[in-house]
Amino acid sequence: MVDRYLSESRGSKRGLIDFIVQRLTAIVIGIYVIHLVVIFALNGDMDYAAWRSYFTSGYSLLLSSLTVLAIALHAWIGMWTVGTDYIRGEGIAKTLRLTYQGLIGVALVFFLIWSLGLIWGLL
Amino acid sequence: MTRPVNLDLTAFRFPIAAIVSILHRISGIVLIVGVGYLTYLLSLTLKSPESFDWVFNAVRTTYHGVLVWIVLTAVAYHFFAGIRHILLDFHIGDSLVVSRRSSWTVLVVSGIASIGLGWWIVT
Repeated sequence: MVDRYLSESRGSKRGLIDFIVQRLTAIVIGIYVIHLVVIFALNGDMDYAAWRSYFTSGYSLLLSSLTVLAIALHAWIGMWTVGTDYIRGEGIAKTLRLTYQGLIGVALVFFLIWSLGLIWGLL
Repeated sequence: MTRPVNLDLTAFRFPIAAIVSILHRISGIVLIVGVGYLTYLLSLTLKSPESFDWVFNAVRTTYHGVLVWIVLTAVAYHFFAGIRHILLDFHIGDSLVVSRRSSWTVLVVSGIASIGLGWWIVT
């Protein structure tokens, strides 16, 4: 499948970049998920002090920041793909598709600014 | 002129890989809202000891527990289906027999994870 994507996207690099970004961000998010499971498994029931000191550690702030950025990019590519699969064609369909993409874009930029604000406001 | 018509929906059989694929997409769409919700709950747990207690009580005893369970199940499913997807990108397990088996594995492992997450939420 990689070979096919490579040959299909020779004309425009966009598809290939999306393909690669989607996989790299998936790996970043996957690592974050695994790391949270490990943290919870190792620490059992954390009280507020332990919980807060973990999530405000420099290591957690960096990893969370990287992860919310990865989530925004990953969700953009995923939702863009869903939109172009189901809202096809020109005219009204195109207006609808662009509106959908605009709303997703605004929501994801909001998510990114809000979550980064939450993460760094904790300092 | 008559042509064959098949409107018996129960007679259609979707390949297991198609079911795993559409669930991957549906879980992704659930996560667009779900990740925002989890981020909001996490931010509340970090605000004060009182809101920390409130969140954990609400998740244990109210409808928030059901919502968190649904979102975490979507995370688990998207995670396992994503690993399968990336392996297929590299032609690992892309024969018919192996991809059917890995489809079932994704469903079973996610099911077990979902039950485990439910148990973790209520205890």
